[in-house]
Amino acid sequence: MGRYVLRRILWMPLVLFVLVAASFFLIRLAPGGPFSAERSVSPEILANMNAKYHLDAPWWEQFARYVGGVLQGDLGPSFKFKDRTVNQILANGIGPTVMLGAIATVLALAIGLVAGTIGAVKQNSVFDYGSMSVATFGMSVPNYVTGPILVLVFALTWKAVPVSGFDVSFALWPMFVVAGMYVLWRGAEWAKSGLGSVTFARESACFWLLVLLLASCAAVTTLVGSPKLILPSVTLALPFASRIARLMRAGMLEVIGQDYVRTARAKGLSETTVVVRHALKGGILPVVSYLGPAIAGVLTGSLVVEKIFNIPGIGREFVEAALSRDYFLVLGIVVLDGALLVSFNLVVDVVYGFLDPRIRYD
Amino acid sequence: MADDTPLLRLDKLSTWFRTDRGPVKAVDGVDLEVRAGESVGVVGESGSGKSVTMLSVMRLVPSPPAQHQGRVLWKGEDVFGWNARRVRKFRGRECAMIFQDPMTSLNPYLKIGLQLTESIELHLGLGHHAARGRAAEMLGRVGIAMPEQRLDDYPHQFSGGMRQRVMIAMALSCDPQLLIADEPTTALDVTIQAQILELIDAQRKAAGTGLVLITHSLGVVAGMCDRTVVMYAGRVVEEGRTEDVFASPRMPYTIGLLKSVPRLDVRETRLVPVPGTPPDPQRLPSGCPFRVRCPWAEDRCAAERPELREVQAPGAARHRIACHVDVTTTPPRHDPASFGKVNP
Repeated sequence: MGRYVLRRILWMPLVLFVLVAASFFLIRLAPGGPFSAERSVSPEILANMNAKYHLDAPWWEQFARYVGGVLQGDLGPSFKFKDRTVNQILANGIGPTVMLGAIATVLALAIGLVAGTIGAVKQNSVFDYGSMSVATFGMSVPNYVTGPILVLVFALTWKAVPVSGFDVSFALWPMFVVAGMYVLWRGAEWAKSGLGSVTFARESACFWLLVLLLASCAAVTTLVGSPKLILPSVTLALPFASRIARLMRAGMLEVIGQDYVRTARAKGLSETTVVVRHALKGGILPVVSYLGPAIAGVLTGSLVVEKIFNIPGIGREFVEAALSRDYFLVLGIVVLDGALLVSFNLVVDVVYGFLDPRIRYD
Repeated sequence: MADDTPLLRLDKLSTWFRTDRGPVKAVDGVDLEVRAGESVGVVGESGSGKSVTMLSVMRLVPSPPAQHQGRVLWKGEDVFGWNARRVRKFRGRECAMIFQDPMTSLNPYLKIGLQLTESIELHLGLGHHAARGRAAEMLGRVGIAMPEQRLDDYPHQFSGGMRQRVMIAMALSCDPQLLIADEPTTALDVTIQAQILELIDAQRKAAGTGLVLITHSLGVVAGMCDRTVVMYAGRVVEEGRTEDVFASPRMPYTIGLLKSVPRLDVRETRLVPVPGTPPDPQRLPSGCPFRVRCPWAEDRCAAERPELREVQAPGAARHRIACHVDVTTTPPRHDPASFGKVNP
């Protein structure tokens, strides 16, 4: 396991290098350049500017300079914001983007897992048909359509939430309250039967459900405290919640039909225990494998959502940078998103190994 | 409990499934009794309703789509009348089940220890540590070496035979009064089968547990069961003490079954299969479902469904068959060559 993780970490730089190389040359294939948009620049000034940023150097020298800079942690200057480096822009933008992405991911997981599980346990019920219809809608309609519609309905017509903008106020105390209540609830049992039963709970899906519950508490209270984030997170979360609900429902249906679930019932366990302890762990696996692509989707989805809701994250910067051929800013965001994605894929693979003991890392 | 109340009694139990092509009766008016400590073998071809009968007893056939008729009496109480809480106490605590395929019947994502201790904690009310001790004791009893360490293993770290031992340990861990074993050796290597059966037999005898053994192997029944029940097309067609059923089978289907099994004590090399195929449960023949394959079939068999009736057995033991014909006095009417000679 340790060796596997180490090997994956050692591979990361190579993956990122290929990513940087591909993006470096692809963006240069796009017509125009960083200074094409500026009006009536005399050829001398243009030549000077190109010389300053080494844009007149041969391609291999430019590439070597860039990679050299990245290796030293310098993602280069921005052409558009001449007073700021790419590092500074990313440092400012990463907060809102990660905030939004994290809230959307937690919401998508919480809603999707719960809806999918209930849909599978109560198959062919009104809830099942209802939630799956909503999920099909959520998966098929792109977020640049749902975003404005949500704004129109909830912000402009109903005026329940602000239209756009960004400010965050954390309120994490409910998370601790819930954690404390859980300890009070289970503590008596732990005290009676020793800490063995804690690992017992951990081995089944209960532990992970608790983690998700706490994360959902944090997400919801943060949203309550900062209503400007509600619409963007919902817009961003909707397609993923839908996809997760469908995957979870399919996974649970498959598992509930398995022999070992019948064995669990034959032992006299309650239906809740059968579902939570015996079915959930197997049923959640398709969702876990989807989480890697989902994180990628949250990152790309936030490009659009940040633009719609005017959130000062790196997604919005990315769109503007690509339009104005701000080469280094685009590359910087690609490197950052790529690194995030590669790390999350590793985390997902490790979690998968925790859930399915038959997975071997070698 | 009064001595004459059987542990388990099925009273005209029927189970059918709603399908797109109409209802399918998998179990059709089964009468059956199991007394405390007794072992009963249920034999029949695939699809004869043996497993569904026993799953109905455990209320493990999901309903709907399945529907039940008749009664299942556990010490005189109607199982179908129980609420969910009572059913859960029944399952695992009073009546435990071993399933056919140990490769799929254990949860691959959970440690053996958790799967064993959960029912012990639930039914015997033991704490976590005591339950682990009990689980290790049970594993040791079914012949698993180093049971304490093996509790922390996952099912895929056990071989098929070992997993079935784990299943047996799991089933017996709460001292049930009745053990239902649904073809416990079908999925196992032949060399392991005898070991597993001996283990089940020894363990249940030591604890005085009743046993219902579902199987299609007559040899297994002959070796292990006090009484034998033969099922065909969802019905009980012959029932009696194992020695009576084997020595003097009275229902043509049982005779056919016995003829189709190789015997070491008879120098006859040709095995005689039961002609024809099991009937489609949606299109059962009228009257006796076996009549289309039966060498003794007469007009009455098509007109009238034979009910279970008592026949004479040595020592006044109960021996019942569902057949209009007395095969001891009547010669077969059709194509006896394909069915073999009538015994004796």
